[in-house]
Amino acid sequence: MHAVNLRRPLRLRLQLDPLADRIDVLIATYDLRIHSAENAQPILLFSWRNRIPVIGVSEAWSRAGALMSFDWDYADIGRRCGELALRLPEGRGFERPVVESPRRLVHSLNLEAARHFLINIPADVLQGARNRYN
Amino acid sequence: MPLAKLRVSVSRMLRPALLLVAGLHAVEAGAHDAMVIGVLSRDSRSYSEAVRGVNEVLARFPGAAPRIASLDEGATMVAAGTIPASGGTVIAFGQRASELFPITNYPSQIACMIREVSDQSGVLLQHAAEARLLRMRRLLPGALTMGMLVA
Repeated sequence: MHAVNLRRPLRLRLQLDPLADRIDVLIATYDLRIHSAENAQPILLFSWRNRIPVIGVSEAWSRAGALMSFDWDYADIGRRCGELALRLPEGRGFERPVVESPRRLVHSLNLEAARHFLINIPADVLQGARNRYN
Repeated sequence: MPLAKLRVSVSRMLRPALLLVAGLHAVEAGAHDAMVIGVLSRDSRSYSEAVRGVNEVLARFPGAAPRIASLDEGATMVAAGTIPASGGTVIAFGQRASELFPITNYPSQIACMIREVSDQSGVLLQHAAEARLLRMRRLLPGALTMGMLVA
């Protein structure tokens, strides 16, 4: 794992370029300071120029050119939250914070990116995609 | 505005336009009528889908349906003390959760947070990093070295 600390986001491209020969895939994190709309273009340009797939943080990233992106199933999160809310003791909260993960993970694919990166998408990954962009 | 007073009025006049002005989108009567759930999100898609999910669950408990106050700009309502005064429950998503309820150990990894605002405890739905990596591995089995940008 190579982590690049972006102290100067304006020089994003200069900081990305040295990664080109060192990584097979670039994974986006849920940090809007980095994976903002402003930074999306240089990140995706780096990805396509160097044939290094990006795994994005939302469906919009796949639409813009990331090979794959993850998102939440918000309806299922709502259902889970409803269940938890009904479990809340009357007039009291939980005694200590409860940490869980969302039950459903959804993903989107960019098929043009797959062709560009010469990646064969397994059938189950393809069929399981909520959105597929050409 | 005292929430109890608001509840009475909106439960009798369930008109979306009126509720939007009031900051409440839906109110239903039931045994848990002390419960007020605020759904907080910046994104209209996640907001509407989450509200749909909450309502699906509550519909299965017709005898115990809490009142629901769903809002898309909940920060104002929380800051104004409307939900805390009600002893209600807030469901906040992602960045909104981080902004409203700073949690030292979970700065940007919160998918969703549910919390009774008068209390310090709550439930975090945290991103499942392992699940994402596993699915990525299905797509890119040959990827040995990963890059990540951090601030």
